[in-house]
Amino acid sequence: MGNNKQGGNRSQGHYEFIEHTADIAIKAYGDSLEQAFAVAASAMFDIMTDGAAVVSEESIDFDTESVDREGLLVGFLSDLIVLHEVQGYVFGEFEITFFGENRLRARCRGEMFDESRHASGLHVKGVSYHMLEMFDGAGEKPSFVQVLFDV
Amino acid sequence: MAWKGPIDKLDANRFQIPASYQSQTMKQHGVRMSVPAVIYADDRMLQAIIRDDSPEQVANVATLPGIVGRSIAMPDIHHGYGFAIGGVAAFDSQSGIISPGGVGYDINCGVRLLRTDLTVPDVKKHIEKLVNTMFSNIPCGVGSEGKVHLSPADMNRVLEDGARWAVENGYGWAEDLTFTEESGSIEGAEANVVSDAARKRGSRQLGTLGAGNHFLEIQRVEEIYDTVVAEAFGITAVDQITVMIHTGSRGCGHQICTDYLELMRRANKKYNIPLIDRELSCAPATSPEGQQYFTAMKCGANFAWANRQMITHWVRESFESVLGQSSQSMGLRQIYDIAHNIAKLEEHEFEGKNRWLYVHRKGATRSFGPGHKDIPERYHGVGQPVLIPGDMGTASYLLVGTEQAMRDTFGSSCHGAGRSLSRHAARKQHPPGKVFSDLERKGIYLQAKSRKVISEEAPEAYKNIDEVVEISDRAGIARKVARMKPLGVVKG
Repeated sequence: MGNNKQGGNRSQGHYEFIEHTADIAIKAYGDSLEQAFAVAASAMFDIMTDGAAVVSEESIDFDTESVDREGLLVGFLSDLIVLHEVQGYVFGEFEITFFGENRLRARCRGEMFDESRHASGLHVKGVSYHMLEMFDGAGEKPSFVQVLFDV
Repeated sequence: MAWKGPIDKLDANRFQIPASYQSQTMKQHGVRMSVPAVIYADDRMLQAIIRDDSPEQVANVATLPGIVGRSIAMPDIHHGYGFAIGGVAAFDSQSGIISPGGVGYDINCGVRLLRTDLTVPDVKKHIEKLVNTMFSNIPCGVGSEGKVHLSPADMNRVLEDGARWAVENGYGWAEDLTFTEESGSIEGAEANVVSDAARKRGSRQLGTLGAGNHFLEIQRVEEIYDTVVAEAFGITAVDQITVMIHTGSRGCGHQICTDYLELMRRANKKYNIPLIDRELSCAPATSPEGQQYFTAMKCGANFAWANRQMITHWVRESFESVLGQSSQSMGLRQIYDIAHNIAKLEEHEFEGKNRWLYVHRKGATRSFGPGHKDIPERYHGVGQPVLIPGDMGTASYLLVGTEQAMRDTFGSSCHGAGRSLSRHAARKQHPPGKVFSDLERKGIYLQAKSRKVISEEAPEAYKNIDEVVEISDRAGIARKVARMKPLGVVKG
């Protein structure tokens, strides 16, 4: 652990990489917890390709459900992996438009993956509960989520 | 998070965390280890192992209900999620549990080894062309799609029949199935327990290599340690050419794991199993949830065997088109195919009694000894081939299973080198151009989809494979047969 590094700066927040030997962990910050969720999603697409090179051509809305907020984060990011792998999307912008305890609604903007324009990075294969942490600053302090991607 | 708990030396190759150890977390959850944890390592390697929290993870597994004998860590152990990577844990089939975390995300990540009658002089001039042909014939990297688009009905058959589906559809030879663990088609897989998302991820990715540590290699036999066993496996001389395939169940297996971790989180509460780590979530082996996962896991495993089967077919086609000979005439036959992320219901003799156990191998290879009913007849006299993939600049190994593994590790051995540098650190220290030229100097030609992956997979980012194999060999849980060095590498 330690040796944190500034990673990216989109979706109105920032994230940093947390050292991990086999896989990749990130800590994503936002003004609210849902914003931290959105930043975590942009971090994930930076790992898979270069999120900054993604054009917001299309917008997709979807719902994720789970037993708790931890499950929502893992579910939300896992659903994005499914959209990427099944339909071939890459996304660069994320917004949580509804944020409940057991359900969230997300709006993601992006386009189809194009090998000629999008860098081929690491394949994020899954989202782990390992090292998963979240903090809701309730608008007074920065909120964050920490999540580890299986690559 | 270095290990500060008790650790006793059992012998030159094994250390033990006594069952009396109870961590703070275990105390908080009111659980204790019911069996000791055993780590295969020598003094030097142990120093590296205790630097991360894998010993803690091996100890945590020993608290799970129904664990039998000991929680085992192989010499290539490293920190995983919940269960460490390089771990073996056997649970009683009635009183024990089944856990997706004990298998891992990449269900049936595994290795296939092909042998040929070719030698270095036959292929030396063609390595670049062979690698480039395989690179274009076998999709790899992020966002790559399989060449075969499966109908929903075909996808069901892949999930239920595995490599047998592939062979029946013209991808490979019937004898390939004979030389695959579970004949490439594990019994009891029922596709109806696999989610739509998992099917969809899978149906686009069958016959793809993926990225990261997965690879396809043309290798030369560098050293033979046991000529008798080597010959039984079809390895007869130094400089003989082999081909190794290392990949798994792709998005299909990952989605199955993701889906069932969510189900298991609910099951943990339902069955009141204390959860000391979220990734240790599990269900009783006899519960509907446990059995449903086990069935789905088998589907993921079958998908992986079909995947490696199709890649094998395209490897053969690539060799045929470059060298202008048939695969039969080149002797491009399969030595074996093994899973190193899987749970199996196996019968083992333990303390004088035969017991049915759910043996979880996560980053560990089955290593059945001579005479076992589950290994192909041709290998009955010598034992099961154990395939250990190394990093792209060093070597891979062919080992053989032993009687001692049956006694000590529920018939299991190590699975690979394991990382020593994080991907991030590797990227900083090993620029892709340098990795490429270093390999070139060693006579290894690399073709890769991603420059990032080249850095991250630099040979220096991995532990020393020779040491890992040496300890397994000295401890008697697998014996060295041959060492293969890469000549050409395809990476995602």
